[in-house]
Amino acid sequence: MAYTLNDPYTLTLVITGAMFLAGLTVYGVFYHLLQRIFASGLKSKSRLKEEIVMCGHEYEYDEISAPISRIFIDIMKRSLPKLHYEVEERIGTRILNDWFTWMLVLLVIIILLIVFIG
Amino acid sequence: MDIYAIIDFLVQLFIYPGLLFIIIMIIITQWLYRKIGGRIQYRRGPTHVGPMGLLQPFADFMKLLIKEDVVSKYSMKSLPVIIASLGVGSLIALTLMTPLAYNPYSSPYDIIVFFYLALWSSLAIMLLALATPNPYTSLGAGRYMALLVSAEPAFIASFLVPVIAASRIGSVNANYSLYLTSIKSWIPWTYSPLSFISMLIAAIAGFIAMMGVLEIKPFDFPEAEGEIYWGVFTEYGGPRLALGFMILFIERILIPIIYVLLFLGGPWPIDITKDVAGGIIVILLKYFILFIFLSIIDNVMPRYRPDQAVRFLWKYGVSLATLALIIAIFLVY
Repeated sequence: MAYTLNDPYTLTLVITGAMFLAGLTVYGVFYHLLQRIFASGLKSKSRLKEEIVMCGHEYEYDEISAPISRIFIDIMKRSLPKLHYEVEERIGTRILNDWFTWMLVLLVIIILLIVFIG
Repeated sequence: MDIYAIIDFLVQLFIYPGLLFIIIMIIITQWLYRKIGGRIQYRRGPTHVGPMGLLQPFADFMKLLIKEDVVSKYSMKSLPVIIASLGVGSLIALTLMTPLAYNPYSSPYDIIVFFYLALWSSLAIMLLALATPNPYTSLGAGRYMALLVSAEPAFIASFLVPVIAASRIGSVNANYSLYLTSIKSWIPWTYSPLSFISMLIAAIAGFIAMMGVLEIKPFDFPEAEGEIYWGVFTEYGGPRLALGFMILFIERILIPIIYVLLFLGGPWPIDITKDVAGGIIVILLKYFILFIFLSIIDNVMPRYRPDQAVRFLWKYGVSLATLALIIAIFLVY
């Protein structure tokens, strides 16, 4: 027997509720509980655990952050040079460089496809 | 909702096809993956823990979970763990919408819920990467962003094709539902020449996109252990790494299962509405064949450079998926 709900909104709520329930159970059991039972005796007071970034090398905070957006832009520029030139130079938008806009546009396209064409 | 429906919901969420079933599947698939990797590299793979080394992945997973939780002082402390747990939860909740569930949940247009849940897990990995400052992690995050904007459009466009085709064919009338499409996904293959062509093109594009989403070689450049030391996971160890791996491993179970459901006929030749157990066995058999194929590819392929991979995914994945989508929308009815 399938639980066929009338609208996707109710299903989204039910499934999101299931997601939170399962996620919090995973957090509670696999992370919190197991850590409390098994790893409570392992807590090291050594400062080493705070300086483990860069495999123990000395560092400054500014040095350890690489500009993620620039890495993304560089990959896109090298991968799709013509499209990048057309969109950025001709049309004058920097949408290709904005990861969040990409994902938002993608979501809007899916919704439009399903709702209007359907 | 009566009490039995709530109990049924909890049993499905936590036992079958939810959490417990997924953990068992992780153990089996990771054992299989390691055995295949071992055979390809002239090794034996896991042999000691459990019968034929079957419990080795479980032992490794438990080892990570009970290790000390080490966090560097510049990292976010609790948020990445909670988001990673929700990423696991999103994939577990997804199982309730598939025919693997004995009482699945469905509604018209629920395919969008599938994409939303699948994207949650990808974004959870992204947040894990953004939560720690490290040059290699940043490189991994930048690469992962590039992979997502290339693989996700192809993934979504191609996986929409069988749903749209099945919904536009009057005899199926799947109503853009993942479950209804899954139980009759073989019909668009045989309905008309145009529906067959759109399904074939979408199946090829979907396979490429699936490899990208699952970071299967040659698309594993966000991790690239030889170049950027696991990229996204460079800083992680212990339980945080276990949760990150759990998302990846569950994705490698569920996304191919959805591929089987939408492109490989799902439970066909068995009618799952009449024989639930038989249908589930057929789905799992098809899944294991697909998983073995993906594992072989992952073990024998070299890795693309990021720009090569992105170009390949746009050139073949996105363009083929868009073509299939156009055929399905305008020519299949």
